[in-house]
Amino acid sequence: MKLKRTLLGYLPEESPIHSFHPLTKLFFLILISVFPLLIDNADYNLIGVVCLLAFYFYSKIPLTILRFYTTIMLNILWIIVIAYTFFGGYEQTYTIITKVGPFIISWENIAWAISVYIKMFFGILIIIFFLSTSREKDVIVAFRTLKMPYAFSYAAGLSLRSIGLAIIDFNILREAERARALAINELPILQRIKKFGLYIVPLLFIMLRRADDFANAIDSRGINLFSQRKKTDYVASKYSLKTRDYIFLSSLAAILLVLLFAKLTSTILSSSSSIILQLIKSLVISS
Amino acid sequence: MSEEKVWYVSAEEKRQPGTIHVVVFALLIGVGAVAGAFGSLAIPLGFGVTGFWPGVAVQAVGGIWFGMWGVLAGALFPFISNSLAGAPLYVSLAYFPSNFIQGFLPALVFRLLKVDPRLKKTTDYIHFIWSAVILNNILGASWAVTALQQFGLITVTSVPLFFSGWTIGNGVPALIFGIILLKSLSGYIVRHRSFVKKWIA
Repeated sequence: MKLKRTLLGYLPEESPIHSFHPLTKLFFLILISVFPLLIDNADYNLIGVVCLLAFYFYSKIPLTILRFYTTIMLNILWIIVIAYTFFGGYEQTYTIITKVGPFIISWENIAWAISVYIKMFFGILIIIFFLSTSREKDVIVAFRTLKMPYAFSYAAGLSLRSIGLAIIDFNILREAERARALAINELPILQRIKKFGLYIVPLLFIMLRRADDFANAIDSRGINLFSQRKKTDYVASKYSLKTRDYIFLSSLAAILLVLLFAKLTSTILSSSSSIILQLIKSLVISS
Repeated sequence: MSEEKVWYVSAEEKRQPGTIHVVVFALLIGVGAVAGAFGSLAIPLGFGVTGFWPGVAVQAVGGIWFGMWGVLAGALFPFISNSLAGAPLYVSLAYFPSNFIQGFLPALVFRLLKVDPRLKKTTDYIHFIWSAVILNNILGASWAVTALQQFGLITVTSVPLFFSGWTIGNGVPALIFGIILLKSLSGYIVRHRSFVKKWIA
């Protein structure tokens, strides 16, 4: 099976997501990211999560990619639970579940924590989807399709590529330390933080030398990044927006408008309308 | 080169943005993203806020050395490091003003007061500490917790927790790594063609 490199990993070449224009992938990220902002209702955010996981399956993204984010998601869960349960505040109308010392555990704070976490989970899945299906070239093509200035699209592409270069440099520095018998992972956290200074100075110095090389390479080819003259865009010419792109983006825009309308005119998107939370509430209170 | 000469632009000197500035801007985003992701993954507090974020040092020194190129790079690389740390896009967008001010304020102070980036005098250290360690992070934290609270991601009662996490988590690395970077690299950078004396060149 042939794989194509993406920002976060690899994707099979036969993935249907490759048939979409890179601009569609970018707008998908932007439009879908607004959904969890508008939706407080845990039910609808969960539906969004399920639909997005279906997109993962459709795009042939290996779900094992989510493994890298497990620790992060657990940390976020932990922080949200503590922040809302113990520091969520209390009002007379709240339903008290229990008291732990000076802290009042109320159902309203627990419900809010559940709603916020599902919202965050949805948002994180959206980002992971974009990073798993897009390449640096896609971002460049998307910007050039939008007729962004050449310097802007060049800088965007170089910045994404430079992350990989910075990671390589970072690993080289770590190997150099190991070769000098410095095992940073075995040091206490405060020592590790101190030693981080050993990385950041050479990383920036290498960046400057690389900047010189890149700038000289560009200037020696007579390329003027700020030139207003129209350039033949070979990369972007390989892509064209098709009917499926327009249909897909129109559908997303329509859903967004519906959500906006619902947000402004009704309470259907509010957390108080959530059936799942009402079920959990009845279970918690009865126990 | 005295501190006055560092920022001084003579009448014959023609400074304009060039290829080197665009390249430095792009590469600084990469370095900042790696530095930022390291901290966010090390001691995460949630929503991309961390107990220790070395990325702020890159924001501060980037703005001081490279003017608006560094300030914008410092405001944009958190989009990448926050994504890697598990913060949704709208949270990163909400943080944009905070990340902008964290790079812009030190850049403004150093240029207005003609502070030497090489930190040769005690007053240079004082200006660095109040502008790039304390005030910029207080302003950044104020905006960030307001945005998180407006989005309903944190409660009013938990604002002090996230505010102090942001301020201390940014202030400590800004102090330690900012000074290390300025002392070790400023002498080279002020003579480099990428050094920005005004705002874009």
